[in-house]
Amino acid sequence: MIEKGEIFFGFSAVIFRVHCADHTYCTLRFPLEAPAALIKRSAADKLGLKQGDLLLVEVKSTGERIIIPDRRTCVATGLSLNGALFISPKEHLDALTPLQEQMGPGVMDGTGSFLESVSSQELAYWLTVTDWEAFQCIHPVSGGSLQRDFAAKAPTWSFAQILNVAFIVMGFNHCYELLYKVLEGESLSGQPMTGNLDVFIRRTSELQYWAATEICLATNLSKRSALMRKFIKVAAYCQEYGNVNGALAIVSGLSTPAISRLNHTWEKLPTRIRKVFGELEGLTDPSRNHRRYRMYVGTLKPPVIPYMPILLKDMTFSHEGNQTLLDSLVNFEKMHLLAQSLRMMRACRARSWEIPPPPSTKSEAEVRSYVTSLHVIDCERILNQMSQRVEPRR
Amino acid sequence: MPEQSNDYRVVVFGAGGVGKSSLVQRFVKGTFREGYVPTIEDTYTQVISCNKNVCTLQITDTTGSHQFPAMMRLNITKGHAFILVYSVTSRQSLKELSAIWDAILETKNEAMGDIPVMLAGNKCDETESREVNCSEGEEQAKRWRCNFMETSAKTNFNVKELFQELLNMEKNRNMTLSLDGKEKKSQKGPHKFKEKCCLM
Ligand SMILES: Nc1nc2c(ncn2[C@@H]2O[C@H](COP(=O)(O)OP(=O)(O)OP(=O)(O)O)[C@@H](O)[C@H]2O)c(=O)[nH]1
Ligand SMILES: [Mg+2]
Repeated sequence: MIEKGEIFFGFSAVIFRVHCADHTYCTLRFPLEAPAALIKRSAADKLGLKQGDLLLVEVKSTGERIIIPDRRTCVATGLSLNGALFISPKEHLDALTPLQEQMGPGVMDGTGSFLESVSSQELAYWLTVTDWEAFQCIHPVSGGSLQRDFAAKAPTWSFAQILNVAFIVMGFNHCYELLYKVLEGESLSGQPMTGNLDVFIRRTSELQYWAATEICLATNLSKRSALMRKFIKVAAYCQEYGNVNGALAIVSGLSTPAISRLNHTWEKLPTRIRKVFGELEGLTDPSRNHRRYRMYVGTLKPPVIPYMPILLKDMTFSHEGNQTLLDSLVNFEKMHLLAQSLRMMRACRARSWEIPPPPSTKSEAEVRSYVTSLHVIDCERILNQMSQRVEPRR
Repeated sequence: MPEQSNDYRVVVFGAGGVGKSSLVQRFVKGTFREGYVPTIEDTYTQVISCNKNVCTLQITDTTGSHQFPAMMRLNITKGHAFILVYSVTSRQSLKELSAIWDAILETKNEAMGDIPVMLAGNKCDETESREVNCSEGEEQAKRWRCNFMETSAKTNFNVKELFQELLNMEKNRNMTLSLDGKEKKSQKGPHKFKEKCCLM
């Protein structure tokens, strides 16, 4: 129920459901900055549960349960793609099962025929338009109030505050969302705001599972192969449009075990298309610290949407691999490492994305509404089962 | 995983503040609150007896104050039976039900006679500020070919009866609210309640 393409602030209200073990739910409206404890109390009240040993839990489509700490903010945006919020007494956690809707589209719900009827370039164009909108929304949080906040609390500065101030010194006033994401789990004071980044990360995994889902839903071999070709072409156009994130998300979806094992489908692809795929896939090669990706991105001119998983991985490595304080002095070497990622992010957005739409086969509204309301299966186990069904192991 | 196919889904529609949540909460929990907290969308379950088996009555309490057309359509599609609530203190709230009725008609796209629908004129305890009298509600129900009752969530008048009558209208299943099945349909026909409400 989270709207895409709007900028979130800490005070932005979002509407979301909290479920019980029997799958009844209440729908709540809270600002993103509301801590989990508050949401839990309100849900318990509405659902008539006795306050006390209750837990707020994310149940993933795989059935995995993740307890949400009381102080966590951005609870609704922070869920995994098809994840759902539940509330449960501590001792009955085992009774929580995913909702039917979390399983994603069923065998009859593939959108293959729609995809067949739209040109790859058009799909890539509107994907990029929406992705760019979401990318632009990331961390618009103004540094001013935070700086003041930190200054007031200077004698009791926490780890995160020291980091923040260090960045402000280095001239980054708007980097909080990425930093907060990387620092997740550290005890932060203040209310970390990661809503816009959360939406973008979810979008990235949505694109990844989109390709895998649609291909697994196509039971007919030639249709499946046509879809595979379509997704590769869409990825290639995304790359052309500077949407490296979209391109590599789709490509990594096509590289998941459920899809890469579909030999018959791959064999039917023209050599040219397979070559295009090979080149894109090469960019996801992790060897020598993603050297090929870095070399490639280094040659691009803005506007570019970088591959977010690598950016976040870099920041996490810089953070976890280096002390923040050395003999009670801020470790500026670490700050510079983190700053590199932030600088890269800034460079990517130095110019805004304004490219006219390609010749159209469909109405803009139709394609736009399709790319903003994808339904996918985000459970590898289900994808693998479906993959086995369409091409059984010989 | 909870049994899905066995569920009987009832959706409650109506304008903001007419007392949808109050009716549902009175029915499910037996409680009433004076305060008004607008709903976005909540669900409740109640175990009932259906064809001599146990089944779950799933009640969706919808919003009357927000506009969520997509959610409304989804609820109509998934619902087996509907309760349309207005407040006898507001003629406007009865008018607003027309749009919902049209949407149900359009979405269900089958003989509406087969779909249980109850029209409920709530807050009938409010004699001072009454705007809609009982016969107007009855006439509307006749036009829509559904059944009608006046109710009060506050005084617990006709609340259980409203739900039982709705279940009675379902021709494909035989459902009763009490699990022991002691409550006979003949004891609690709609006529009795209509009379009662018209006397007021
Ligand atoms: N006198 C009287 N007041 C009632 C009755 N039912 C509800 N109310 C009051 O009317 C107000 C609104 O009731 P709700 O049940 O929240 O209304 P609603 O239809 O759920 O409203 P939305 O959720 O906004 O669509 C509350 O203050 C209730 O106490 C009733 O039968 N009699
Ligand atoms: Mg309500």
